[in-house]
Amino acid sequence: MPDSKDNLRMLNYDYDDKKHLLYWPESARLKSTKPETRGSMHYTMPGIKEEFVRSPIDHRFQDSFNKFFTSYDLDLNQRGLVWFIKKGILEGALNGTSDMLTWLGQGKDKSGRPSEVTQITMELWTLRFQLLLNLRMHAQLLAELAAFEELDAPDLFYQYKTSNKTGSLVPFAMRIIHAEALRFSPFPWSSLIRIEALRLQVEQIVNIFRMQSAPTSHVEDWEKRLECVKLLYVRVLHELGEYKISIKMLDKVRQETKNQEEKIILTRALMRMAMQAGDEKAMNYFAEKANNISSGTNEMIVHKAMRSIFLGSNNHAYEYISRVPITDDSAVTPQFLNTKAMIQLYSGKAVDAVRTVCLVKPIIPGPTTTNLKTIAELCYSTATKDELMI
Amino acid sequence: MTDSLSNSSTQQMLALRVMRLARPKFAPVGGFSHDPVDPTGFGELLAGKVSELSKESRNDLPIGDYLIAPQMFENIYLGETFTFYVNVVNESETSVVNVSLKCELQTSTQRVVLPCSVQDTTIESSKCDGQVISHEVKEIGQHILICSVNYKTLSGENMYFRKFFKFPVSKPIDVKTKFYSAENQDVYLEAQIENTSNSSMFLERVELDPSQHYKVTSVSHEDEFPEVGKLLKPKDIRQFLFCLSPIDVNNTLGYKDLTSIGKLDMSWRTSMGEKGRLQTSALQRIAPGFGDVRLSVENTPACVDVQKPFEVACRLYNCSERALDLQLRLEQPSNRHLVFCSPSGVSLGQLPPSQYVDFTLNVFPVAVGIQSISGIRITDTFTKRIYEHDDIAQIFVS
Repeated sequence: MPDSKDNLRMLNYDYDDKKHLLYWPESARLKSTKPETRGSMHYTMPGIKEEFVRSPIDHRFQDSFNKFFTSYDLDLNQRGLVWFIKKGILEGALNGTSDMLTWLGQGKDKSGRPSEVTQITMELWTLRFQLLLNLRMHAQLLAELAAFEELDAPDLFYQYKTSNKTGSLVPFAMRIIHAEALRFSPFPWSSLIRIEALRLQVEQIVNIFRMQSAPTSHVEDWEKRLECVKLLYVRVLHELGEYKISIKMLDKVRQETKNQEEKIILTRALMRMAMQAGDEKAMNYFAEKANNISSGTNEMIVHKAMRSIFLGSNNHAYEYISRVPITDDSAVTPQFLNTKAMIQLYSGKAVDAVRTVCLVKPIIPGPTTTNLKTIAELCYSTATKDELMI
Repeated sequence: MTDSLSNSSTQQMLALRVMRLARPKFAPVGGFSHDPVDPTGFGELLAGKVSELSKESRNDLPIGDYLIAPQMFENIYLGETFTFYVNVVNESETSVVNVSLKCELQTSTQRVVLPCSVQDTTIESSKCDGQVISHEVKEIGQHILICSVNYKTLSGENMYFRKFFKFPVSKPIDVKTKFYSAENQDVYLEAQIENTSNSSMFLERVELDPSQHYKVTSVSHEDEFPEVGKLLKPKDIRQFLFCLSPIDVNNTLGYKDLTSIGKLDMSWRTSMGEKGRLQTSALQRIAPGFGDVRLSVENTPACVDVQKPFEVACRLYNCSERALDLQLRLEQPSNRHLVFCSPSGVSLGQLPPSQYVDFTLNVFPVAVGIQSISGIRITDTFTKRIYEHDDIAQIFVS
């Protein structure tokens, strides 16, 4: 992250520095345009959908919002976006993108009207879509994303308007969201078609870079993107209930990854996926694989405890979790404390479970807080529970 | 689980809390994939914040690593284990003594007392006492968990209250069976197992526990993904095939009756290893009626050369309950494609019940093509009854 005193180069990154990341094969639509008409037509005409109410921001942060977003000032506005994201006030950042896009001519009522599609507007839209996704505002996401069609319009390529730049104006992050977004539509399976197409295109780019003997770092960047798309594929398949294919595909990614740390993370994730599904055979298979590469680590011990919960042996689970040295601060992770609390609950020690889960700091909404409420409801008197929740 | 309170006319000092302990699940992950080499840096910034907010280390994976306690009373099925946490909490500002908790499970046919260790204990103000209780569900239909609490206040007043928790139990699987009888007395059992529950399950074991008359072999194929279990989604059906061979191949008497094949033993796991097990009642089949005698072709060539004689080994069983005096007669078929060369009218002798006699036929093939052996007549010399055996085997003559 650049120093706050410097001018931020985020949305307005330098084209030449990132050229290899902007590479994208020309679409059939671009190829079919006549050279003499290039640059004159507007194909992509996005706009904020006005039927959606602006996200409310906590009044405590309204002054900050007003300070960052008074008028179009890219540097100040970007700082505002970073500030709100860092604070976790995603609604604030979303409203910031609304104002910025409005100032750039792509605000409310502008959908379907010609406007200038630039690197900055495209990156702003991408950030906006990422925020909408994380705020679970799926209907608005789908409505606003529709203007970008299949991301293949001629004006979404640099070479459509200028002869000295090539590549796509569509940020890769937008391609990821575009592929996943249909999961929230009435036709969730359609997202797999887009994801598969994206995977093939990225695979093709990796091959092109390799054949052109591009710098290793450039190839690696695209390989990272390919892995990202594969993980997206796995995640969407899993969400759609396709356990077998998703586990098979993630196992393939696991085998292919060269990063040992990533391999360990994926192996444990596979173990948990098998547990969640109830597949003892696969759980044992991946537990063995995970143990071979991360035996004795605290995370592996926690996973072995989870496996014992799966097998219905709470005594063994307790035995495993007790092996994690609680004197080691790095070992006492929220995951460890939460798992320990679960084991205590299932061993009939609900009060101890509450005490354990209370050690997770900070207490913010999430699974640990849900567990705290659930277990306290079981074993605390109403007065004590109310006191605890305050 | 619905509950209702009884005998609560007076203010109670204790509260009863019951939580079904279905297996914990992994908390759902929001799911967010970002460009790992995003030129703006916003993707990484946002992903980091999302991870911090959700406490999950990764949001691009399909599963998180936080277990979450059950948030609702999920469906429970026959063959599963009903586990619950029952807790008595002192809501008052004084201690209560002689606290005893009794838990019973009422079904349409019986009332089962569940073992409970909260007996004659003292619970201080704001404290609790309770335990985890498990019970294997063996009946379908409405179940009622009845929890009764007896205790005494410090002033010596006896207090009592009960709570009822109703929950339905339904069938998780449906089993359909089909039998196929082979010529060699083997029986093939095809079992179709359907998941009638609302959740996916992994069949861990589907075995046939055979009756004393049979030995069993499972006819299975290798799964597409060998490291993954046998998944059965809701409404999915999976077929299993078993081959049952009689232990005593000479026991011909038993086949006349309804034959007990054995029991299907099935166990499965659902999400997070919740285990279930069911066994069918003894599977019965009606054996094919062989009559008093049964002829079995023990050995015959599949292909023969024309005009070169060959042998057919036969075995004749006495399936009746009395000794039979049998005579073998051979009728030459009208088309004369196969001609018997063995003598006709020979006596096979006295055959006690459940015994057999072997004999060999010499056959001369006259015409080429697939030919069928017919015309074997067995006569019971006592009753003069004739048993006709046609099309007992097919031979390709070339």
